[in-house]
Amino acid sequence: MKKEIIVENTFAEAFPMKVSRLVITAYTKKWALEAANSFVGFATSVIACGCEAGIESYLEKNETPDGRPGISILIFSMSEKDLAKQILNRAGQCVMTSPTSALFSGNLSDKKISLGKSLRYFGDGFQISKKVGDKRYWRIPVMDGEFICEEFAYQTKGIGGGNFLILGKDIESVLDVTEKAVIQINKLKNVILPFPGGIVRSGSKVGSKYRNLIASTNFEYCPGLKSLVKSKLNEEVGCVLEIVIDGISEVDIKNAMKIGIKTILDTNNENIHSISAGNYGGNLGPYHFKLREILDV
Amino acid sequence: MYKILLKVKKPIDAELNLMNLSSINLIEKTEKKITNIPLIYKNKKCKVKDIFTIILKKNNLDYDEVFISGSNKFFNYIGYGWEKDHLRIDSDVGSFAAVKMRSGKLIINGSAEDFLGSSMLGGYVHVKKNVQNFLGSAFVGTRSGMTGGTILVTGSVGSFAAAHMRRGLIIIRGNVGKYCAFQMISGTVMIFKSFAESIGISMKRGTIILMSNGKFGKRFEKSGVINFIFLDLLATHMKSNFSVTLPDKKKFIRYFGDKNANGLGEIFLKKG
Repeated sequence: MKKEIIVENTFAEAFPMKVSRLVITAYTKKWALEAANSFVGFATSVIACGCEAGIESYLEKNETPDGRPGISILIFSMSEKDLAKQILNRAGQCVMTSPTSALFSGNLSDKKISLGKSLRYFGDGFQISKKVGDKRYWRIPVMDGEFICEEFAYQTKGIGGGNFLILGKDIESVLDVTEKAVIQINKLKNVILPFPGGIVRSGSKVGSKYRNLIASTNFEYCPGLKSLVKSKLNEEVGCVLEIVIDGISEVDIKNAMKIGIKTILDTNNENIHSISAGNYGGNLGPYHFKLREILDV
Repeated sequence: MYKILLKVKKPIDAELNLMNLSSINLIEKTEKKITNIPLIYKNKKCKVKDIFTIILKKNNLDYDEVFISGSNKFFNYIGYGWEKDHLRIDSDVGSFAAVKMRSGKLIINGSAEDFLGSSMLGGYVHVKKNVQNFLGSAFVGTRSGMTGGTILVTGSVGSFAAAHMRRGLIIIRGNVGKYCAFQMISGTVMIFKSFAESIGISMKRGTIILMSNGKFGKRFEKSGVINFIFLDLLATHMKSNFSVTLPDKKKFIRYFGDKNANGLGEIFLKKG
């Protein structure tokens, strides 16, 4: 008899974050992607990166402010101050430095984040501002011509930490189905998967036996520690991977989780045991994404 | 919202001052209120109802539309201080159209006389034929030219266009006369056809984009060839907001000047 993948009766616990959408354009898609990859590099977790960032979508020429190929990025942080700092540093070091690039805001809100307004000083007095429609842009002279940068990015509310865990027999089968889920989630707008390739293997819990650490390995899900700790894994499980989802709204995260989990369920892979989720008992984050509710089970 | 049609009752053969017509932006849209808007014709006070037949209809848009039919070069101050909504004129207009305009749209299907868009603050003006002198320049008695908004002229323009301009965008698809961008301080002017050698005299800052060749003397110094990405941004903006197509990006030669005024204005001359 074929074994069904179990969806555990649990929930993912997520937190409010600050988010901004940015659009990077360049002469070719390749160079837009280079700049974007550089921008979202080292932005997997706020635990040590200061922000979580990822590529939201590829934009066609007719979807960008300057009619060139572009990439839409979402960047999340815990506070307004951190978000502003991370955006400015990454824009200056990763986008302005990338050949032919230009940088624009991809959303609007009342809360402005200084972008071209600060980066313009790199122009050393030769920068020129231009107002097009209601927005101001800065033209900063650089060695390949000009770097065009919108004066402000904009901050809105977001949610970080939507997640689900894939428990299975071995790394080969778990990685295979998780990759399939990532492909489907990456097609969605308003969400990003900040970890490498969209997948995390080092799920964490809050705190540690070492005083200085704010997070440490989630030993309950480490298959190699089954005999040493009160493990949440049974005999069949030899590997666990996690997909972490940051999104603009609860609906976006729910939708992404639903599509990701359904993709895995649809594989009917016999080596996948169950789908679970990471939470902290419901005491830390105000957003609880109940797996069975999301899947209408 | 409403569609308001103002059709001229009798031929207008002397100056008609339509400055107060712009109050239509703010008043309640009833026939009674519109008919009583004061105007000046032949230096005498009159009312809208004396000049126009009014037809008021509801439209399905989120803004009001005002149509003026039967205008000519005596129709002065059309769109003066215009604040919102769309104003469409089916023929020529006189001087001072869109002066101090703040927002909204003004579409003129004919030509305009002097001072169109002078001291304009915002909004969009499209003139489908020609404009005389002082387009987007400082209004009479003031020192500040246009400080915002967009003006598109499909035809040609006379002298002193964009003089003292401070911000905003002017696109001229035809020729432009003498002293264009005189003492320009900022903003962008784009000219598709011929221009006079006096272009950019005493220019301090700002940008002139020239799509055809011509001379502008030694007041401007050549400063290299660049990929002008800003033009892509401008083209996308014009296409998406006003359905106006600008040419594809090309390489441009950049000049700085006016040297005689220690200016840092820039002229982009299309290469080749």
